[in-house]
Amino acid sequence: VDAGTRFAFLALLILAAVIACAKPLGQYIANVMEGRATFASRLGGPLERLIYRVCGTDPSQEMTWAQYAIALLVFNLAGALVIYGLQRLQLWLPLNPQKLAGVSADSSFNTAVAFVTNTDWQGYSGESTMSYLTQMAGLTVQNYLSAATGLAVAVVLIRGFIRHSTDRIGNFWVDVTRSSLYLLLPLSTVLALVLVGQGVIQNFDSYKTATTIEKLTFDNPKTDAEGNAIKDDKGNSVTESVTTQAQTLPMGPVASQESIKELGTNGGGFFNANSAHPYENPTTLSNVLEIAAIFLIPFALTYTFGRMVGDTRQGWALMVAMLVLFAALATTAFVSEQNGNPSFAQNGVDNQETSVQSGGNMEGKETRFGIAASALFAAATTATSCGAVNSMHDSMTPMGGFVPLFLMQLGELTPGGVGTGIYTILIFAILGVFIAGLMIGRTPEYLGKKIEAREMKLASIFILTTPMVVLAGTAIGVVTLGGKAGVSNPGAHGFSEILYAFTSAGNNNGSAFAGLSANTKFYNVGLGIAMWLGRFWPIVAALAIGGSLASKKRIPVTEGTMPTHGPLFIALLIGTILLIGVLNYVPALALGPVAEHFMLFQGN
Amino acid sequence: MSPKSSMFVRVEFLRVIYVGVDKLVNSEFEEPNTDMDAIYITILLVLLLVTIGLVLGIDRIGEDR
Repeated sequence: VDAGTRFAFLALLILAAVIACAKPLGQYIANVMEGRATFASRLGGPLERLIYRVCGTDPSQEMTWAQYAIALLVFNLAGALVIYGLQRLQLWLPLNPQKLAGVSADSSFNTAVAFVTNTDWQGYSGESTMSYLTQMAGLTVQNYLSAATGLAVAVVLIRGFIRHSTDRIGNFWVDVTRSSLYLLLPLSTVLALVLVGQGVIQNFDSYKTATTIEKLTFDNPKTDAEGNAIKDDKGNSVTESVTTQAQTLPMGPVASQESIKELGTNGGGFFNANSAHPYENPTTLSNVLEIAAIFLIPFALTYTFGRMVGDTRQGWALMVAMLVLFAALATTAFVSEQNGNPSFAQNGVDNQETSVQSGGNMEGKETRFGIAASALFAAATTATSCGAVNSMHDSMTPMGGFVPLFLMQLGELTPGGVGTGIYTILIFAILGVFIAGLMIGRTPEYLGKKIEAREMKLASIFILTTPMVVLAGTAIGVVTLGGKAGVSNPGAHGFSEILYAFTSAGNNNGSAFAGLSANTKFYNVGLGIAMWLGRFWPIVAALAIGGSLASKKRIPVTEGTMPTHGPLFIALLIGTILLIGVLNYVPALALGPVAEHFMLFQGN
Repeated sequence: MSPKSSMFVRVEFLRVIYVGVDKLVNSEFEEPNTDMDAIYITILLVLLLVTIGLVLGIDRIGEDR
């Protein structure tokens, strides 16, 4: 079986499984978020009521969109402060068998913002930086709460279409509690147990030292006191030769973090190598399950949307648009990686796939996963807001690397993160019907709500915030010493590294072109600010749109109403997404991966 | 919880807080960098306030509807 067939089989298998789960899971999510009784609520009801009593929450008290937004913002700021404090004080706190020192202030700031924004950007190496308590009580807890926050925002936007003539859009505390308690917690518990069955570790042991049979000699990059790579006059990293027979095996409560890392589309790995590490992703089956877990809730939310608005065809239409875009870009990534580097053929190196070699570009990939599973993982993790990796994106071919970059730049809506995917594509749908309305001279409407000036201004804030953050951040990165200092590959690829970092931060993805040394004050602060603005400004705009729609009257469907569940609407939606993405990012992409692609094929 | 147990919990809670504050004041950090903590917490607060400003500002959008 050739790699192309393996890729197609793997993609179809995972997508078929996820789509099969979309209806029952989407129905369940709708029931949970609308407060209907489920089997989980019968078990968790007393705990839910206890949480409300302890927190002083009246679940029947609904909020305006502004109250909802401020509750959300204050809640997330509190989460950031807790993570910040845990990192700074971890040396004196329990569950730190390695006696890891407190994390530096700038890295703590960056990580705190990264985990409350669902980005999970990691400028640090988990196994050598974070205590078990920080990983569990700080990072893993935020994996739940940031996903629950995204889901809450999505539900508010959907309520905007359902409700009419009201300024009440729900209760933030209730939405976050229900989604955490009845959706994320049960699903991630089951997945964690399955992953443990596959070999993912879950313990509080101190690190083990194994003695290897052979002596290992390797070149270790020298770093200065701040952990930055020392470079020579030509800009190359200075290394020193190290010989050892000792191998340290990090331990920790990995499975419990791994499961919500994928299900919550968070992506922050327990270890630096993320899902390329055998303790996070040990087998072919665990790899398949992790990709499926990334997709599971975002795709199910399309059905939730259809169910809540009373027309499931609306949800299926969004899912088809997501699938078309994802399939096209994931296939591009695979083909680019399997074709590999043309310089090999030009220099007489056999780089074709045979029964004894994979061919293509295997740099930065695990041999146990190969090109097909690595390319699919890379596309899945950037089509959502996950950011977990099972291969190093920095080592992909220029067009292979273009795909994750562009998937993020499209807004991560194919199918997007937990909650973020559905609310992002709904705002593109609003924009799409507005454009269609302009073309045919009718007042745009979507699901019985008129789309007017206020909604379009808010949609503009939503759509333009992220490109502004990404492009301004990249521009600052390429002209300042602090930005350029982190680049390991000068030229077009170095530009791509900076562009990728700000794209990942601004879109709350968290994956990286890891050649960039980002654990510096410049990147810790710059990317931290990008993550906050890229997360919460669009959320505020989405909540405001939800509030605005909820306050409107419903208008009846007439013969002149554009159907929003058919092929025409799907094509319009895909066109709108591509148009906005291309207009925003083509100049930057031309300077990065596109330029590198042409240089590669010219033999440079 | 009896009054005696309740008092014990309160005293223990205050003791833990005291030990934490004492360590911070005596700077058992590798470097005395609580200034840096103040800077980064301030950045977080500024980001929050700017975003709340957006919430309040948005209410004015669309008044020409």
